[in-house]
Amino acid sequence: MGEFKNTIQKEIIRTQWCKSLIKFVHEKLRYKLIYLGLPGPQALDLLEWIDYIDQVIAFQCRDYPKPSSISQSRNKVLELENKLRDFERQGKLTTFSLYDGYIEEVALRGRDINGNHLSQNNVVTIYNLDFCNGITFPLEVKDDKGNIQKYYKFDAIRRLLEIQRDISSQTICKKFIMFLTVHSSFWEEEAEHFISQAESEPLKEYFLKINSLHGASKRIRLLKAYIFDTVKKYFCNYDFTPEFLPVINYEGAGLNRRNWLLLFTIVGAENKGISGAPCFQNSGAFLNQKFLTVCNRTITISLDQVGITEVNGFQNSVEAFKNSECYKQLWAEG
Amino acid sequence: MGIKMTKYDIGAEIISILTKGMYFDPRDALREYVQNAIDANAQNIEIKIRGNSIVVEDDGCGMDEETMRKAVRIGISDKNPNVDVGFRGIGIYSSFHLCDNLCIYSRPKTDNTPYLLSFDFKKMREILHQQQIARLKGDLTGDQLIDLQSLIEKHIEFKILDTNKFPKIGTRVEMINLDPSFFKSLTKFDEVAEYLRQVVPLHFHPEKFKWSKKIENKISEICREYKAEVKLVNLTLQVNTQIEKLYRPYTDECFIGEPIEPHFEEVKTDGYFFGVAWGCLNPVRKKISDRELRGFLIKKQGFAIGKRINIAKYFRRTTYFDRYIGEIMVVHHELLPNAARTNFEISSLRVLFYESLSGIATKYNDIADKYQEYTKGDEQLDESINKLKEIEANISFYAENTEQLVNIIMDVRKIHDLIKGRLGRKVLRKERTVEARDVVNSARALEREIQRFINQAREHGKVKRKGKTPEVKSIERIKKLPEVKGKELFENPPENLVEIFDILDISVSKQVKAILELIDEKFIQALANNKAEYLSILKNLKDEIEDVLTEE
Repeated sequence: MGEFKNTIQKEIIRTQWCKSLIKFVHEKLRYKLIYLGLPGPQALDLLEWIDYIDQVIAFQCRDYPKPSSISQSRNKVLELENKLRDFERQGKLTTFSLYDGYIEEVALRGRDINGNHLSQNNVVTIYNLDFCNGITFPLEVKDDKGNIQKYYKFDAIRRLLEIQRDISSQTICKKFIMFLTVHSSFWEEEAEHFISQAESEPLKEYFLKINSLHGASKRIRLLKAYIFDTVKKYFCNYDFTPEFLPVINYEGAGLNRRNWLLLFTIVGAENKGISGAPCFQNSGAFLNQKFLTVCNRTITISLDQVGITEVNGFQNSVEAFKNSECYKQLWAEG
Repeated sequence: MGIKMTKYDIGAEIISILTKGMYFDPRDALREYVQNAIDANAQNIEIKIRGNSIVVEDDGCGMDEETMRKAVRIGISDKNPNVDVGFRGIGIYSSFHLCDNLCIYSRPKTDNTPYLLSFDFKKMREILHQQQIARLKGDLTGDQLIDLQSLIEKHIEFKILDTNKFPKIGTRVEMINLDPSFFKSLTKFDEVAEYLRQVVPLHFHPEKFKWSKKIENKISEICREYKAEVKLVNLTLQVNTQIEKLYRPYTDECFIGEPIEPHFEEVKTDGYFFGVAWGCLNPVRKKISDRELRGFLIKKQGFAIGKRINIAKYFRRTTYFDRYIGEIMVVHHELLPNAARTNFEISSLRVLFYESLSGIATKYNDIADKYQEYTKGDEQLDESINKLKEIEANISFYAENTEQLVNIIMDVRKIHDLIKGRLGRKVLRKERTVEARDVVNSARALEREIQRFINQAREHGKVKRKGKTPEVKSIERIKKLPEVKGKELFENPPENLVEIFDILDISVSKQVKAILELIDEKFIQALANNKAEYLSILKNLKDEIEDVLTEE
């Protein structure tokens, strides 16, 4: 969260993969987008996507990975705020809001460390959740009574989707992109638990298939399955039909060097059903898709993984999305 | 012979003293920058409070290089008190204690070049603080203190910017790195919005207040006759993600029922036109429920001067004052608000203004008085009709009870006297006088009938009139009386003594409340034979207390 260094891989993903999808969604929706996420003090993502963005809701912690405290230096928060104010002054953004703290802390507590209450008036159209510690790794924060509370990133995702669902919007259909970056460490115990609890047939089949793998190659596939299974449920529960685009797997930098990062791209559309939204995506097809990666300054399909068979997906985010059942049913016409 | 002074004779500390003394509330800085925007003829203003900064942005005429340079002056202003709200030349420093840096970006219509004025308030405050400590230690003498000019010159920077750095025409004020101690008060949307609604010349809510257009148009029309102008602006407030367009706080819901059409008065005296007053009366004889909005508020060019309660004394009858929502829109250029905006500066003109305000107040009191009498008349007439109908419907049940008939006759007589009295004093709406006469005649006839009936009963010496139902000739007449809503008009009748005070909005302490409960139990409840009587006593008592309050 703001601690990722700007690597060449990130830059390529930002410009080649994310930007084209954002542009496509912007043109499809015919209005500028509302961004919610963790742009980091230098707001590099925003700088790249600014032509398609109208408003920003940003979160910035003070001293990663320590729990937030008002005694910590505000420098990183101020740096981001200055950046956002520059965009606004230059007419590139209509407005922004900035919360001082970790996203999971603010989303679940309902306010940041300065007491600013989290609220959302409009439908968010881009979520950029760049979690650099493990997705299942909790943030421990003292509450007002001094008790330690554990805030999980997954709970933050759930809360954000809940807020999005609860926004009353008569005119705008809720459609959005969620970029979710996680890395594959902090993942041993949860993986075991996840495997033992899995109920769906495609998952069980997938576990069997990757059982022969070891180390990082197994870990990233398990994580992919875990995120898919969990986030899909969240989306559907909150009345959004998800479409998971091919996952990009790339090497981290700084604290995350030698850790594989996974970028999930999920496109959501409001689609209220009797018991949540349906998911049109075939789980097996998604799980058996090859990872994308960054090679020679381009997004490419990763090499074959020895020991298992995987199929090629689209290398282009827009093409991947346009060929989905979700797009045909919920996006194509409007 | 005058005294020659140098720049060293005005110490830098003066800026801290002045701004601390003039701007008690961090929100005052918002008011000051909004004021500047209005003086720049802005139509739209945005206030954005987020994270560690506040932005006030407008679409006014912007400032050229010369105006920007002049803006830093203290106590000198090129503004015209005739048309501008700000004129003291200090407002730009109102955030001196609020933020570390103040940046003012402006791009004028005239030359299209954006300019930046940046104030390093943090550094300035640090220097003053260090100076204070050194003085306390005795390390500095008065002559060694930094002067105002030097402090300003060193910590205010002026820059010409590239167009893309600030492409909009207008001015943008950025208060950066707010003192965290102000976060709490500035990040509560409702509190900031309420403050701004009270102090900024906002439009009325076009949908939520029935008389919005009428009031805005009428005020403009009257002011135009006197070659004056009231500027109103569109203001949008953002606190973090909450964004709302603000309007003046008045809505139809502030009144109980539909607000009565506003009454306008020109505030003027021999040769002086001070402004216009508007006031909407509550349609029921009750105070406006929101204490903050009760009565009249003085506004100079749309900016609040003092509080509503301050001018209640000119209305004498505070009960009526509290039943109004209104404003006194002052436009006279010589009536200047004092620095704290609690009143106008002392002057002979101020005396004249308040004298004419007293005159206006009397007119508003008369309107309320008349209205009150009419509504009370309506209520009493409706109640009388209902009562007569009730007696007519039930009279046969009391045929054998002369004692009860005597009581009824007393009630009927009371109705007769009450309505006849109103007709005599002409305190009934014209359109209801025919009805009132019918009530009087019906009551008279009914009284005679009951009296005849009692006499007959007495003649028979308490002997039962077997098989005969009493005939009351006035029945048909009463039946012809119109149907009235009756109790709907008397919302929330008191159910105990303490409730009377609640309804009349008289606050009582816990102790007094306990005493009232004791009086209620020992005396009032003892007067009544049943609950209906008890409630009737309470209602009468409430009316009498209300009359006392009205006559205070």
